[in-house]
Amino acid sequence: METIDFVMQGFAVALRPENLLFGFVGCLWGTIVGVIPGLGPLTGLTLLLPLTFKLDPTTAIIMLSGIFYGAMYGGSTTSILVRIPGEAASIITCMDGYAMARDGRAGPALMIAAIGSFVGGTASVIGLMLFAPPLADLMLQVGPSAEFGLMLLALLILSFVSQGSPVKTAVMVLIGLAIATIGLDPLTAYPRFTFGSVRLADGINFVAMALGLFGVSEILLNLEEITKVHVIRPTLRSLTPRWKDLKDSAPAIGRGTVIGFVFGFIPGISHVVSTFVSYAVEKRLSNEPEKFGTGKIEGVAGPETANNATTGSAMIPLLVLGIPAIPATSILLSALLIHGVQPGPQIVRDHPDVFWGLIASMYIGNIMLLILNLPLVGLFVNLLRVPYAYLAPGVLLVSVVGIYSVNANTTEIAIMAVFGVIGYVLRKASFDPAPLLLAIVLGDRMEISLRRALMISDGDWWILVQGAMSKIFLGALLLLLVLQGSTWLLGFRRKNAAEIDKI
Amino acid sequence: MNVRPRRLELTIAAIIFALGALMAGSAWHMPMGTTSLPGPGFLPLAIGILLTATSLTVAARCAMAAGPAEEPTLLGHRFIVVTFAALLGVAWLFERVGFPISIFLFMFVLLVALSPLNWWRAALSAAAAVAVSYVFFGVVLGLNLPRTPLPF
Repeated sequence: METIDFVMQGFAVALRPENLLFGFVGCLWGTIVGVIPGLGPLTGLTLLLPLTFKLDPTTAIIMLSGIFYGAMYGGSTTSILVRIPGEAASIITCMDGYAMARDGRAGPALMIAAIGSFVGGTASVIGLMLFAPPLADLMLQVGPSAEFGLMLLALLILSFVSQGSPVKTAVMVLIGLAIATIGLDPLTAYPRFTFGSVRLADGINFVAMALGLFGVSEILLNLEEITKVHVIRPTLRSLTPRWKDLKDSAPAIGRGTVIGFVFGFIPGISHVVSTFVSYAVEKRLSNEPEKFGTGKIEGVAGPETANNATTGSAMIPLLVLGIPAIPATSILLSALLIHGVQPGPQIVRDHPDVFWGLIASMYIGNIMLLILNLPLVGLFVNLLRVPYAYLAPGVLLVSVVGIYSVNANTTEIAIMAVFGVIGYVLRKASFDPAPLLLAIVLGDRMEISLRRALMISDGDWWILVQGAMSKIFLGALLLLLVLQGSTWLLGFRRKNAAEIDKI
Repeated sequence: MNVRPRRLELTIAAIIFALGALMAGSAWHMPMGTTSLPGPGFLPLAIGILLTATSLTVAARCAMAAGPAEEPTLLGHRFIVVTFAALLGVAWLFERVGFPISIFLFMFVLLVALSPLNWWRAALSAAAAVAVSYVFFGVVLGLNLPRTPLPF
């Protein structure tokens, strides 16, 4: 009963005209960045983050969340019509979605993708609403030692599921932790790596780094590959799916919802992994697995539902634990902090307007996106006709003004440019910069929790393995290490055996 | 500029090794605390040491990886050099000459370099971009944009 009261309170917040307007702007911008290849949710969020600083915290978070889940909707459009994934979570949709479009069934593919996204997105918001408050209550009892275990576990999972080799991911995590140490020591205020500069006392501006590593580097990479695209244009009438399409996709949508919701909790690239898992499950359960890749509607329905279902569950670790499960949510985390909202178990109690307003706005946002993505699909597709040579300067202009508006400091434009080039070079050498960003976000808290735990225990390191929660987190950590070690060993032995066979 | 991927990886590993060593060296001079109660230098020292170790692992794996002849990676296309220079330029000019002139120059350079527009069409487009962005950022969002010192 209490939850219903809170939800009603949330709707009262979300339905305020300014929240509706900025929620809509977020959904629209999210769809646009999702449609344009190379500009995913991360870039979309970093570009508009500085512009939210003048907004009320609740309005800003509603708008930024709209960008996050809006991009998941938009990504499918280009996968289906052009065979270019708008963002990474829509890669798998290219296979059957584009095949359907070539057979003249682009409309049903788009419609089922939109319905699946709506169902997955809405169901995951219900999950967020049901699971987040009890988890927050549980986490309130967690002390600094268990918090340290949790941070360590999050970083370890991230290293395992991230793109690229685990060693390169570890390097990125360590660089992120190193950057997090720049500035005043959080406990003693001792200056670390500030080189006497007052500006570095607060560390390097996170927004400038994120905007450079993701926004600018993405643009630089895309500038090398300016290509012309062939677009299939569906008519509004052709959008209506057949009864058989709906019947075939309903179970896939159900399964995609569950897979996406579960994967959303896992730090790393869960929104991408969930789509591949969903596709694999659909293929395995199908009576005609050989037809996957030739235009099976389940191959669109499952993955598109799964990637949207991750959006709600990815919000749970973000809001309740203060841990961003996927890179895009690390931008949301920094937005919350910039607006004076400390994510963590106390958010439900201390900032009910933000928490419940966000949940209610996600219900409304999903409806907005369904309406936006069906009749306006032609309009969004036209964005692909704008040559990248014109689009890139426009996006860079928004970045420059946006980053300047944070602190009215031109040095941050230069920092953004330098990190843009660093991100570009790292990605060229297959180093994924996403773990770096997450490590910067978690680094500070990890250090504080470790040192606080040691202070409490008077220097006894055993405190880190005492208490039920610490044991659970460290047990999971050890299990993961053993699993990863045995997988590596098996792979190594198989590779050696194969090489011996060759000889 | 075309570079071999392996050479690029080795260069990055070398830079990270140097950064790790520098970090560990600097952290050594910070208050270290004790092993039971770490001070501000403890974590940076640990991170610095781990960074050097992992960068060596990356370099070793890269050096040992036997494979077919690698396709060279394109690095630093002229578009990228121009864009980076334009970003540094706008950072330097933004407060010195104000929003309208710096953004006009920024857009003009990028449009001439990246798009097929000739210089006067690029100038017109850049001027339009300045006007639209000023209305959006300065008027609608109310951001405090640096003014031009010129009398117009």
